Amino acid sequence: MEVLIALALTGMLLSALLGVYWQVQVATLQGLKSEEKNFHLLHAQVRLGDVLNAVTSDMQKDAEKQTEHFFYLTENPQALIFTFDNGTGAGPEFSNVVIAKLFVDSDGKLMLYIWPSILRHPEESPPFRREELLSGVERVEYLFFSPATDEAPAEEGPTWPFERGGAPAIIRMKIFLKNEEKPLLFSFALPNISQRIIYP
Amino acid sequence: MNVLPIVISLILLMAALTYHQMDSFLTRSVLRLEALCTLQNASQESTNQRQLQLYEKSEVKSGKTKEQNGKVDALKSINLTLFANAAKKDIGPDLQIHEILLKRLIAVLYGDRPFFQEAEQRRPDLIEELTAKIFEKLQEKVSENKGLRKVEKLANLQLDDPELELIFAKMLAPVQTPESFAAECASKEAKPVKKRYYPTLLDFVTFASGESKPYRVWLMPKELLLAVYQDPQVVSELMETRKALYGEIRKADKEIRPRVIEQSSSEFRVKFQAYLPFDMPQPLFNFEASNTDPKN
Repeated sequence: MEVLIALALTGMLLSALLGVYWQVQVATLQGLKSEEKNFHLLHAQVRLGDVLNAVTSDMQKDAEKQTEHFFYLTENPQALIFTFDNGTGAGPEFSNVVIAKLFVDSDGKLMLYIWPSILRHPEESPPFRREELLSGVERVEYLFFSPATDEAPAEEGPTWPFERGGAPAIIRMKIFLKNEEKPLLFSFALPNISQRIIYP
Repeated sequence: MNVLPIVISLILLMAALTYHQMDSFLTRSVLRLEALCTLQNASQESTNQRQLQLYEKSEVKSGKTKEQNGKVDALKSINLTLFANAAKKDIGPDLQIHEILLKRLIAVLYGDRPFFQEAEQRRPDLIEELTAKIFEKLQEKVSENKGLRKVEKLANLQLDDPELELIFAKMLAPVQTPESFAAECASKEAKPVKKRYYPTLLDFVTFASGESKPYRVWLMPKELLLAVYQDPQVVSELMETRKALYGEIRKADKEIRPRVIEQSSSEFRVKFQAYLPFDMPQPLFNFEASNTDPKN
C-alpha cells in the first residue's frame, strides 16, 4: 500500500515536472526560431554595412584610376553594382578594391557576388565569391540621397544609373520579405564621398 | 517493501533532468550573449574603421619643407622598395640587414599566433620562403613597371602557392584580440583594452625612396624595436626613456627647445646605441630626438 501511494505521488510529481520541461522546451524552440531569424537579419545588416560603408567611388580623392571605381543600379533585373574596399585579408584576388553585385535571385535570396577589380582581372570570366545574405526576400527598393553641391541642390531618388557616376551619400534599403507585412528598413551612410551633408 | 530506494532513484532521475535543463539553458544564454555582442560590435565596426582610415589619410600640409620642419631623414618602418629594386640597384650589405630585420619582425608579430605556429610546423622555413616569394614578386612588379605605392597592395601579390597565399592573407587580415573581445562582451564597465587588433605586417612596412635610409629609433614602434634589440627589457626601458625625454622636450620653452632636443638626442644615443646587437650596424640607426611624439 505504501509503495503504491509513494509511486502514485512520485508519478504525479514526475508528470508535473516533465510537463513543465515540455513547456520550457516548446518555448525555447520558439525562442530559438525567432532568435535565428533575428540573427540572420542582424548578419545581413552587418554584412551590408561592411560592403556599403566601404564603397569606393571616382569622387574619392586617392582613387588611383577612375575606371576602377563605379556605382550604379540596373533595372530589369534590378541589381546594385558597385566597387568597394574589401580590406587586406581576403587573399590576392579579393583584397582591396573588388566589384560587388547585390540582387534578389529567383529563389528569393538576397545575394552578394564579389569579383576582383577590373584592373587586376581584365579577362572575361574572373573568379568570384558568392554570399547569401537573406532568404525569403520578395523585392528590394532603394532610395539614394545625394547632398547639395555648388551646381545642384540635394536630391533623393530610387535610381542611380551608370551614366550618373560617383556614389550617393546615403543609401536607404527597403527589403520586402515574404509573409511579412512591414518591410525591413536599412540606411547606410557612405563615408568615402567628397560632398558634405548639411543637416537642416 | 522498502520505498526508500525507489524514491531516491526517482529523486536522482529528477535531479539529472533538472541539471540537463539548467546546463543547456546556461550554454544557450552564454552563446546568445556572445553572438549578440559580436554582431552588435561588428555592426558599428565597419563604419568606425572606415572613419579611422579616412582620418589617418587626411594629412594637414604645413607648407614647409622637411628641412624647415626639422624632419630627420630616417624611417620608422622597413622600406620594401629596397627589395623591389634589388635587381636594378645595388644597395650593398645594408640590404641584408633590412632583410634580417623583416624576418625578425615577422617572427615577433606572428610567432605566438596559432595559425602561424601550425604553418611553421608544416613548413619549417616558412619565413624564408615567404620573404623570398614577396621579394621575387615585388621585383617582377618593378620589371613590369607596376611598382607598388601603397602597402595595402601587398595583399594582392600572387605568390603562386595557395598555402603560402592563405598564410599571407591571414597575416594581413585585421583580427580582433581575444582580450579586447572579452572586455567588450564581459561588461559595460570593463576597462577598454589598448590593443583592439593584432598589428599586421602592413603597419611596419612602407614604400619609400630607393635609397637605404637609417631607422629612426625615436619613432620606431615596439614590435620593430623588439626585432632590432631582441630583448624585451631593453625595449621597455627604451620606450620609457623616450617618453620621459619627450615630456622634457615638450615642457621646454621654444627658445631653449633645440638645445633640449640636442641633449636628449645625445642621452638617448649614448644609452641605447650600446645595446644594439652585433649584426645591427650602428650607422643604420638614427637616435635623434625631436618634438614628435614617440607613440606606442
